[in-house]
Amino acid sequence: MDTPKNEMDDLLSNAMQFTEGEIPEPDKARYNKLRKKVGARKPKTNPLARLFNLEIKLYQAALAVTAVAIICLVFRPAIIPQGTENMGMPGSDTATAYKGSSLKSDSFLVKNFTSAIY
Amino acid sequence: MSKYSIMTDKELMLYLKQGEVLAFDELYLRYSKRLLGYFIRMMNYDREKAQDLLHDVFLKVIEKPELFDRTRSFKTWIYTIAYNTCKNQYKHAGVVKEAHAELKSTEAVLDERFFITAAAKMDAVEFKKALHTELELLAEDKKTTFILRYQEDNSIAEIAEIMECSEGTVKSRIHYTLKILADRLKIYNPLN
Repeated sequence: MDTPKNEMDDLLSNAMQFTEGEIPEPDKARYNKLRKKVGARKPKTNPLARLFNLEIKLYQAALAVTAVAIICLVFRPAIIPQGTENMGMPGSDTATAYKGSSLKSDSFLVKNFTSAIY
Repeated sequence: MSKYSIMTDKELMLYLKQGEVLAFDELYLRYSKRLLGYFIRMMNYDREKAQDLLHDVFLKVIEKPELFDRTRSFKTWIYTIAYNTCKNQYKHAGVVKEAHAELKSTEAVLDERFFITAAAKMDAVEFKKALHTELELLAEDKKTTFILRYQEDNSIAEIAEIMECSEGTVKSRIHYTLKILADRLKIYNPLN
């Protein structure tokens, strides 16, 4: 329970009050800065604004980069060495077809075009 | 009249945490001038410094709202911040008010009638000026207690919470401060 106030307390309280104009107005510029700080606490409802104001931690960025790198490595398209596009399957098909064919070995075609096969 | 003007301080703090500027405006309206007056007296009428300290207090309220204990009164919380801000300012400025010229005899009984008689004899403005002059010379803890009690109209319990001391300490500080002031105001010969 508080000490009850008496005449002396009232006198001193009155003597301690500021008169009109004795206290200046709080500084407006600083007040506006404080308001901005409060407003910055508000969660962003616009998804685009949220994206640009996203606070990403370093480890989160590192994890994301690593995940993307792994995906790229796993699902990369097969790389064919340069200059070897006509080798392999088309050549072997032709060779196999030639071996299995009934074409005579001394025919014009065989004499002039076998080098293209092998 | 906004919906925030009828809310309690605690409710306003909840909205402030969510970034509601109008809730902050209401809290600022309720406490800024009072705190500015407190700082003006504590900083011996250095109005620029008082504005700085006011800004610091509200900055802390905005940046660390989680420090507000909802079981406590917001008023005592913000005054605690203000009190600690002042203390740091005094430390920073290296202000150490010596307890010189204080009452030599601590056994002397405070004559409460003294103030009433002195105020009656002196011009009201004169009495106020004399009181404020002597207040400026007081040690920080006594000055704070006096201002929180007589200017800011805090209860003994509230002052104890703000200054983190017992109610008994607050009462004895007030009593001792009044004795010092009564002794010092005698030099103005108010009873002649």
